[in-house]
Amino acid sequence: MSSQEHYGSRLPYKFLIGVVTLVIFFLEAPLIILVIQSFTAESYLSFPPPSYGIRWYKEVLTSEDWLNSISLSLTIAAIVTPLSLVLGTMAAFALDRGPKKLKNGLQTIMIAPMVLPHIVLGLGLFKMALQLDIDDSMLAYIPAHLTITIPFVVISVGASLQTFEQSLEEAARSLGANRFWAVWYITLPIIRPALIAGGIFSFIISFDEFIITFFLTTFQRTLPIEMFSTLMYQVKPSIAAVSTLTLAVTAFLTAMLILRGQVTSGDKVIK
Amino acid sequence: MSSVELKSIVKKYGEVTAVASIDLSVESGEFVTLLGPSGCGKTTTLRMVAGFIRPTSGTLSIGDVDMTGVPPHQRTVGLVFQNYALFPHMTVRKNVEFGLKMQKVLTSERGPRVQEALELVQLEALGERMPAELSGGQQQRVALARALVIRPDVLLLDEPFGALDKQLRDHMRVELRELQQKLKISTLFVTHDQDEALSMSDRIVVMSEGKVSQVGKPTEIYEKPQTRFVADFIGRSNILVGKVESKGKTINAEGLILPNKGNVVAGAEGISVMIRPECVEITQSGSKATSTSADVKGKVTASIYLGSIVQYSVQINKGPNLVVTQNNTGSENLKNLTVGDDVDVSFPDSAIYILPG
Ligand SMILES: Nc1ncnc2c1ncn2[C@@H]1O[C@H](COP(=O)(O)OP(=O)(O)OP(=O)(O)O)[C@@H](O)[C@H]1O
Ligand SMILES: [Mg+2]
Repeated sequence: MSSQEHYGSRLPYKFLIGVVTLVIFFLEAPLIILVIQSFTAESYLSFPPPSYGIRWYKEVLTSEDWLNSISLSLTIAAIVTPLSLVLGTMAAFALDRGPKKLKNGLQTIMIAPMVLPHIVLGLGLFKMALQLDIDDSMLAYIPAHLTITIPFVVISVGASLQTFEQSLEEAARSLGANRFWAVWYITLPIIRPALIAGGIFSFIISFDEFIITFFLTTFQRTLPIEMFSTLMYQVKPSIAAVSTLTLAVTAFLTAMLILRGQVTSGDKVIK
Repeated sequence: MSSVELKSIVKKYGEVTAVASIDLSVESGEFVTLLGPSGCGKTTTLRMVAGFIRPTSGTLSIGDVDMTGVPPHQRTVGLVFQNYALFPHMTVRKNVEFGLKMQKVLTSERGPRVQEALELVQLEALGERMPAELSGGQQQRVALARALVIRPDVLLLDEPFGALDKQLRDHMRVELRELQQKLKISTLFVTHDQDEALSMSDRIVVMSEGKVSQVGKPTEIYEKPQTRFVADFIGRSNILVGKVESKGKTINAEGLILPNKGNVVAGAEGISVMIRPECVEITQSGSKATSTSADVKGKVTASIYLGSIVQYSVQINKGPNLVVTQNNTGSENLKNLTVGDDVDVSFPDSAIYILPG
């Protein structure tokens, strides 16, 4: 209240609110419309739907194609997430504790897949998978997903290690813990928020991944690929239902991330 | 038996020599302080004892066992950091218990030992608190309990009171010394605060530029410094350069004629004479009939009020400038001394100390 008065004129403030509202509206409106449409009882997509029901959710959750693709995507994400966490955390530690001279160069290399065009990455991985004869299999999807999820873990864990007080590890070591147990009992619990963030990012990114996986699949279909190929020849309300389900999972994980962030920023320690 | 023994320990970082050959021992139950100015290698030495830094050369033993290449977790040392380094995600009790858990002490045995350690530092009531809920002094005590609970061969402390305010620091000083004497635990303490060193230690190791300048009891260090560096570093001091005159009877120290009580050989030059400021007495000229050994007169050129003491600069007639401190007893004589006053200067023969070498 008083902060507005500080700025003298209320006009810029109102203008700002207006812009923010518009942006939010344009960002969220398509999603909201999609969610509403998914609850249609009709056999076609329309807005607003003439009648409501959960018909399309039943259809999705009983369709073998949809269930197979959901299960494949969940399986990949479930394998990728822990691997990404372990490898990313190890890389972050190496960058943090290793020779300072190498740090910048190595970090750039490790983060590169995050900013590289995925289509280029996909093409490269596709060539490699063909060479190794592992395309259209978990052996290809998992390393492929890891190349893009690990950077997120490296960044979030790395940032948290930068502010971590290393004398805590030394204290643990002087009390009889070797390097591993010092990290296990002291460092990891303290950087837990970063680990959770890295894990959730990895899961969401792997679950959503389309471009790279598209290069690597022939017969198998992850959820994004199934959605894409369904869309190629028909637009049924089942797409809206699947999208809503995906949205729900992602939103839930993101909400957890945000809530975690609040809980761990000091409150938990002080209680 | 020595608890800790360092023999010709050297630590180099490339071109930089952090510690240049140190010999040092802490006897069983002894409180030894490493004292020296910033950057003289105190922390480096302590961290080599803890095992975090590997010496470039030399040998180090703890409890008469060679530990030179042994990693920190296999040495039984209790380490207390300046920033306490308490584990923020564990309660006080868990913090203290951690070392026992790492040393695989039975769960049933841990409870009583943690309790005992907490009682030692009078924190038994705060076991369930998190570190962030404690004051600085309490955190310091938890750090101490955590280090002591593992019954270390030696307790290592690196400027443990640096983050506390003066009153608490003085209090913790007494508390730590009492605790140390009660437990008879060998202790290696690092500080750059000479009051801390003088008041707590059995022995002080004065370091300068990676080397040991002098080792001795606090009284020896203060009263009989062996080097110019130690004389300068510990306390305030007047150090004058003199030569022996009158067939060896007197020393002429920058114009101040002193008896040659150290019996320095006749004709010697460039000898360093130390006179501690608190040993010098000054009185207003002619205020009372003084019969001093050295009948010296001077003029006050500066006066600094420091509360419990007053520090003067006195220009001796045809002699050096002396720093003189007087206890602030509230006496009129003291209060009346101001810059420009002529004073009679006196000091007992015992105040004159000739530095060796
Ligand atoms: N990792 C390092 N690499 C290079 N030089 C170092 C390193 N650690 C310490 N030094 C140097 O070694 C010397 C001794 O450092 P040390 O930390 O032991 O000093 P200190 O006596 O503890 O000083 P202070 O009272 O300021 O803590 C310093 O000159 C320091 O710059
Ligand atoms: Mg230091």
